[in-house]
Amino acid sequence: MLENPFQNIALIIPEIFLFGIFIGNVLVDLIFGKINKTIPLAFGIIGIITAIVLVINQYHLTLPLQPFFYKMLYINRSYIFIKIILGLVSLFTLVWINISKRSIKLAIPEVQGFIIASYLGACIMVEASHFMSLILGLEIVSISSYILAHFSFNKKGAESSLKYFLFGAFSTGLMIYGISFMYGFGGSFYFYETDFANKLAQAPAFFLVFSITLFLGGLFFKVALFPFHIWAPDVYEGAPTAIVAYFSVLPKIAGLAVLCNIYEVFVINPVLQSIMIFVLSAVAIASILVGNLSALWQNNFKRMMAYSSIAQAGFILAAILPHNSYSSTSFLFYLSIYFFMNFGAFFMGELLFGKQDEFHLKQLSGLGRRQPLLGIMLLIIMVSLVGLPPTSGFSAKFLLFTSLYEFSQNTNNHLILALFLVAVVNTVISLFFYLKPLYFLFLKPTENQTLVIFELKGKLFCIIIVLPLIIGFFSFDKFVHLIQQLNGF
Amino acid sequence: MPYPSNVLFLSFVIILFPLLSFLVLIEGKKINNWAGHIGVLLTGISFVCSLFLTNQQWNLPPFQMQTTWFYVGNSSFTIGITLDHLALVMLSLVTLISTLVQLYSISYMHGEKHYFKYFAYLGIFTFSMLGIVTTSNLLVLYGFWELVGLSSYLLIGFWYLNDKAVKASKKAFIVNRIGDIGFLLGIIILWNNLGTLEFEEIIEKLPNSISSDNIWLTLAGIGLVCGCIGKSAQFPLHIWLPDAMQGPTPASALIHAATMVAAGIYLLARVFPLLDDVTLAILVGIGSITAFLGAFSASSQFDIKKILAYSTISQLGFMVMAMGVNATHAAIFHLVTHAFFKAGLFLAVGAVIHEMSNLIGKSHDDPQNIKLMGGLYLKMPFTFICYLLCTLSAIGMPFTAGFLSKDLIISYVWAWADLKSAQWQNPIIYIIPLLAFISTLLTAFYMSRQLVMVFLGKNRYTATNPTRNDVFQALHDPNIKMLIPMIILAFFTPYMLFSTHPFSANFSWILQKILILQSQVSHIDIVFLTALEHHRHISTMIICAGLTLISVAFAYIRYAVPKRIIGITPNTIIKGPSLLTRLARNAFYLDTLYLFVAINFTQHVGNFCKKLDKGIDKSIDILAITQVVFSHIIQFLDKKIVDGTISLISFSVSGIGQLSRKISSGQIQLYIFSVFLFIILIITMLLI
Repeated sequence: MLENPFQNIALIIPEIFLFGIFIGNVLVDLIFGKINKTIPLAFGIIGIITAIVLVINQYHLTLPLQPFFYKMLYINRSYIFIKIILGLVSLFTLVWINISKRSIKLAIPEVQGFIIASYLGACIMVEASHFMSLILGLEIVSISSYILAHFSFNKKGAESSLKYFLFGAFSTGLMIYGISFMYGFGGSFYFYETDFANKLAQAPAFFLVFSITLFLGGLFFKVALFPFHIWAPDVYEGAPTAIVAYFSVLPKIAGLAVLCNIYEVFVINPVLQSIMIFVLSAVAIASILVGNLSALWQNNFKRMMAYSSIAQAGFILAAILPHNSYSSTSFLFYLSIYFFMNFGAFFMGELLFGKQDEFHLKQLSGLGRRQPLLGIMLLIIMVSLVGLPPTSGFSAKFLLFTSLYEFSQNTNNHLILALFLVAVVNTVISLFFYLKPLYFLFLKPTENQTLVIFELKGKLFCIIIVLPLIIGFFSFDKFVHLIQQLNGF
Repeated sequence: MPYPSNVLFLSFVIILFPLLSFLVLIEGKKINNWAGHIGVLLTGISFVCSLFLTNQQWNLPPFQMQTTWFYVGNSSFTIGITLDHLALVMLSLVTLISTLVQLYSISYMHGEKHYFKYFAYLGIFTFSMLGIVTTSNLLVLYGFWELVGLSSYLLIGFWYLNDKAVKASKKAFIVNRIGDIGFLLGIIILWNNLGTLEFEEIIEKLPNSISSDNIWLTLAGIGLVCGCIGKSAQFPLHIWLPDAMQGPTPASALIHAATMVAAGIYLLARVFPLLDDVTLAILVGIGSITAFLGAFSASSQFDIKKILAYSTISQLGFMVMAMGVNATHAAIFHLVTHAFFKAGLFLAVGAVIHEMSNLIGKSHDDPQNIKLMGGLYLKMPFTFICYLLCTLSAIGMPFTAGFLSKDLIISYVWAWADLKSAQWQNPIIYIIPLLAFISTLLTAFYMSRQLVMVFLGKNRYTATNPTRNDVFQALHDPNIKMLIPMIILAFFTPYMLFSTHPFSANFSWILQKILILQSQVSHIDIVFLTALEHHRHISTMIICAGLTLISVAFAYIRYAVPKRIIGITPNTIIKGPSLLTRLARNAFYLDTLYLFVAINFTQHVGNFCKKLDKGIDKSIDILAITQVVFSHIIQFLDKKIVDGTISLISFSVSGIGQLSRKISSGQIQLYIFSVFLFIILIITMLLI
């Protein structure tokens, strides 16, 4: 009955290793922390790199077709891809807090430990094929994020962390409530079994809708989708910038991946499919609209980016819906580009706004003319966020729109068509606020002559982030080909 | 077969009226003065109904009723009631004693600060106890089981300003939890193995499973026994019961003497067919040790309530022992007789303590210390008579109900030892009946010791404090509301109400029905056992009566003769107590042992970890600062969250103008509120 737990141990080696370095991080800090501060930090970075190598190594394994490890986890090639991106996110964050003078307070092993832990949680979340392991991963990520959000060491940070926590606890509660109903009707926690979806679909309509909506709510919270997005601006404003960049990307990617998995499982049943399409497209429409329209009125860079990432999450959610190999490519492409764009935007934000806690756009006045390199970097990132050529943002949106349009034509679903139209119109709307910082940078005159310190380390980091945003446009086909090859589409 | 349709209705009334009493009284500050009367009235109705129901159902086959509660996948969970003779007896017993205790409490608890809450707690207790006895399902029983645990916790800690009471309530709760973990595991194992938790179905499915010598079923049985050990205060988890005496005395009478602690025995009776030889042997061992330990510890206590607590432990040990030797009917019979005399004793003791506090006045002496008592029989004649009757029953004097039940148990134990020593070729088994006899001897000793020291001789408090003499002269019996319950309970102590024959319990009307319940059990030994029991009955009776008389005489001589009494005036320190006395007074130092092993060990581990933690001093510092900042914010938010709910309502009433004035910390509720709105919106859109 019970399989041998060591049978598939090779498949979870990266997770075990991550757990090891999480513990090791504490020990190394204890032993070497007093002698030399760089040792624990170097340990973390090397650990993450090794973990990424281990994940990449999983491409060589023969992957099981069924969930493994007591049917708790399931893995395929796209999951490995997502895990690599997640690993890169963690690695970049660690590098960031080590090279940036302004995040120097964060260069402590505690932050490092929680970043490693949330990477571990995100991996479990993505691979989960059982509600229990899903919740486990989700909560590891959440709890780490609550704590990380607090590391700005001021009142605002503590308040935002607490808000984040309260709201998170509330939505996890809703999610578990929904799961309990799904368990009641589906008779199982193993949502990967085809039986589960079919049994669940037989439940009374009200309870079915009720439970699925509540369940998705918890994931919407992680991804900061409407209506669970309200925490995002406050938390983004209060938390340290590096951390904001981190959890504007990592939980989002993990949450969207889980949404994609769930959608894939449920889509086999027509009843569930119609519910899922309705909920997901409605939420995507609302998120894009709410995110973009609210961002229009923001003068605080971090709040603006918060709303922007809500809208971006809406776009990525739309990429899930068509559910074919083309759309999967667009989903993964968008995910990877989103990572670079968002990360770049926040890193530039930290550089440009210096030590001021207020990220008011006025402070940027004239900076771009004094330090053109900085300005050009931000220009590329912002244009990519809007989705204009010649950046990868355009390629991502292009892939998304084509697959979405095709899907709306095939299904004849008005809601999908509406989603498509809203997405296109909003690309134009987003132009206004994404270009606002650029307006201040280049066109607004100022008497202030202070310069922003821009070290070589920072320049290199910027270039590494910005480069994919250019390559993704010019070598679009190679990029797509790579993704398709890696994921076996 | 069609059942009378009013059964269901009646049982709902019986079970739900105490709950109603809880619901009415829990926020009943406005009806504080009438709380007691409401409680008595509602429980009284419940009692009348259960008497009526018992009368109606007594000669009919058991009433069964089940309905599905919920489904998980393919398996369904049921909920239902069973009214067999066992349940009927327990129903009447619980409601009767609950009513009497509440009647008594009206004057006893008069003027307490949270008078209404006391009756509310008694209400929820009665409700959950009735739930335990009527349910047909182990899972539901577990729910009620935890509820009685909760109400016991609330009542022990009723005087929550008293530090001792708070500690005692926590101790009771935690120790019970240990037993309940076993219980829960047992339930889970049963569910896994049999796929049902209905008593009826469990018993039906047993023959198939037991044949394969299923170790899991043994484990399940042991798990259920664990639950019994916790709740019925058996060795080694009995340590909570003496401390539980910190609660109000009438509550102790109801919960910690008559009913709740007997729930473990009831549970064993319900699942009895499940218990195999190993489990039964464990029961016999635990029961005999508990019976002896309780009696031994009671012999040298000086706290009037603690003596009764240890006595309860000892008597429960007898019941568990009876369960272990297949004499379920004897255990249930003893449960019933014990409930009456022990509740009676507690109520009488309550009156005594009441008067003693009057006598002691404002000095710091302990009104529960029997060294300070004596000579009360002239001042409180009715209390004395009730107390005497209950004591006689407790020590098992012939012509009392206690004699009937205890004799039955002991002769069964003896017969069982005969049987087992023959089977196992090992005479060491006779240690069990020996322990039972010793416990009987000790019971007679400590009960008469208490009686003598409390009521007979001269008052020792006034001997040392002559100024209080006039107060002593004014001591009197309690008022009629307190006397009536005592008299009713004492009325149940002679044998006549239970059996037509003073020396044989086999003529008892309860046993005649409950025997049938047991005969469903297919143990071959039963036939032998019954035969042997008849054989041993007379000799047991004679030995018991002899031992009791000797012991009573000894206690009288030791404590009633004046010159001895001078030796135990409160201020004289008797030369160092002997080892045995010290052992008994400290209940074999078990508490200390637990303190040392469990608590100290945990604390040492904790300290060790603390030292380790200090190694990470930097992060600790950061955490500490964080914590302070955090707790300030949490404190701030906390205020706002409590207020916030109300502001939220006022917000919706007084309009959006309020919104702008709200400070930022109030926002989180608004956030959550809006999320709810949108979820509802999505769901309705989907459904339309």
